Amino acid sequence: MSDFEIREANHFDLEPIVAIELASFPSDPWSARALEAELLGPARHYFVAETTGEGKEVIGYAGVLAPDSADADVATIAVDPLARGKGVGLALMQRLLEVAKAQNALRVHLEVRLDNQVAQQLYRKLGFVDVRVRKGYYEGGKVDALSMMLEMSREPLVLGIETSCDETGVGIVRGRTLLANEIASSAPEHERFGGVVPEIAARAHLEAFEPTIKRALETAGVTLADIDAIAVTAGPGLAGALMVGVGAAKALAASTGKPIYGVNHLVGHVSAGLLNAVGEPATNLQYPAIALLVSGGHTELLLVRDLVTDTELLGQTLDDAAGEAFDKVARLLDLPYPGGPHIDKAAASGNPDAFNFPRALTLPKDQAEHRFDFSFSGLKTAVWRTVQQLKQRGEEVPVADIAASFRAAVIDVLLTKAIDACKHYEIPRLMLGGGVVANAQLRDEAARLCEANGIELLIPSLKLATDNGAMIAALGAELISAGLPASALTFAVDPIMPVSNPLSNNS
Amino acid sequence: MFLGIDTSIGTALALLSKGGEVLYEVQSSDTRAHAEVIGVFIEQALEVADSHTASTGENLRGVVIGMGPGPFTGLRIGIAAGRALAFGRGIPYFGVCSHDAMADLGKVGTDVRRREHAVSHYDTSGVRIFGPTLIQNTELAEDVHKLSEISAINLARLGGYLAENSEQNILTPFYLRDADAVPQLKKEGGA
Repeated sequence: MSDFEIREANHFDLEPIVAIELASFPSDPWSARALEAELLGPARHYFVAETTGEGKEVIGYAGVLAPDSADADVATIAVDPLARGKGVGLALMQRLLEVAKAQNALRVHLEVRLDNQVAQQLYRKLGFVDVRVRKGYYEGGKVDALSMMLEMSREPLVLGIETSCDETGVGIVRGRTLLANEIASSAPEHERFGGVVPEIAARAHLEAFEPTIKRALETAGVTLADIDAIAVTAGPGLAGALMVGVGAAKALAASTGKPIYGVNHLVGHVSAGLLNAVGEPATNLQYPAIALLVSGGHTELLLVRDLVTDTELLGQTLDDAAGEAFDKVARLLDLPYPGGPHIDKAAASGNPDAFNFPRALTLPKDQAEHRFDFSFSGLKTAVWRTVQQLKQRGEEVPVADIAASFRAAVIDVLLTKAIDACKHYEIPRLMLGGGVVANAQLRDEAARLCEANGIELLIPSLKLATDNGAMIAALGAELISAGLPASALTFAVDPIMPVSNPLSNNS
Repeated sequence: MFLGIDTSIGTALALLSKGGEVLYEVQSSDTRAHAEVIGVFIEQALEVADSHTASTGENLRGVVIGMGPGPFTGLRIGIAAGRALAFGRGIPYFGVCSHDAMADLGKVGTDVRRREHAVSHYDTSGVRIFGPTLIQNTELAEDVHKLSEISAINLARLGGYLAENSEQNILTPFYLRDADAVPQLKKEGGA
């Protein structure tokens, strides 16, 4: 089949429409007369999908009842069985939604056979949610229907771009529904340096962003024209890396006339907790919540009262990030980069109590100033000293025991402080974000401690917890839904952007 | 129309009609504010392009991007923006050596910091016969023109030729230095 286009239906289309109706709904078709009345009825808007090129052929049709009011109803949609799976249904539905929007509809309703999962997935992708099951709706009471509804104004379609470190991330969300989350990582290129080299990361972003955007649009099944707004990480992060994403995002916004939101990377990490994959149960982060963000570049404890208006930095690392400490200790133990997974592997057979490594800033004297801050450089030095002493004495270095004891110290400090924050602020909700969620030991320990303390634990999937563009799009969508104006096109990147500032609004 | 864009020194954009008329030109000499100014410059240039299309029917055919040499961080912003705007408009982009826009000057050099210039030589017909190559400032010949800007008009002028000769497109920036050779001066926040 060649390409197709969508156009308004007219009287001459009735014959092929009747044929498709019969082929699509053999047990319960509308009659030709009913279809004709629909086609020409008041406030009805019917469209056909027609193949282009020679021998134009109608391969699908759809109609919406959209009077100039808050509610519009999808009357019918059907695609020739021979032309399915080619995006015809999606294109028809998108046209109906455009009409509904133009007619000022706030809600679009539809009914679909309860057993038609394919169609339901398509509708959910477009932002429809399930309303209720209607028993015996079709075929004279034999087949159940699912009522679905789309709230038009509250579901912005946002494309998010993330380039703050070594992941080029492009995500697309519709409100809180995740449609695409594509990531290109330059991590392997940094391996031999034992840490992220900013210039290598920035060069990789430049080559990766365009193909990653294309992949994301394809995965989401939307075009650039469909996107309502562009969100991009403005900071914090590596300046040179951030500028690639911001330069690209501004050009994309300027060339398509779409608003741009320069957003905060850390608040973005928390936003990942709001995202739901199409058809999956809600992750549903509730406010207020405590968020612990830990990765190669971050160790932060946040109090999120409201993502858009009120995120407070409770504490952060005073020196190395936790992930950095893993990398450095891995090097001391002659383990490869990145340290996290390799220390994890070595620790599996080790005794976490073999060495009593320090838990920094946990003493009573630290409580006044650094209750929720972290420090890992002393821990790293303690490991270094232990290794040196063992070597000087000519003893073998017990890598497994050191790795296990080091890991236990890091996890202990991270979780003790996070739980302490939950208790101190009387907030029974903890969210974890950043690459650290890949660590099974930390996940298990967090689950155990949260359960013991009556705290609800939320851990996004690894692909949403590590740096990604979907979380940036999610934050953009939240800011739009809250009615915040877009950033000025002149906004600057901010390598040390504070969490109290979720959105760049000016230069 | 072709749009020229370069951030290898300051930020330069220009829009040239088929007949060679300069429809829009902007030069910002600030070598540290590319990311701030680029969005508005693109917005303005495309506004002019759209109204030119509306009145004459002439479309924007492509974007010509200066691929350096130049200080990396600034250079990349123009390349990223040029590619993204081409994608946003569904038109092709072409990469050229930024010095090619200044070929009339014969020998040209761009300050690429760390006490070095990137230098190119051109013959009288405008063909690059040397470079771009890194040369220490102390070794720099007297007759090398130290560039303070790149002409985006001249970049745009190359559009028609590049559209016909796609093998001439430069896809990788003229970095001239390895990525790991860049010293990390200060630790930056974030990840």
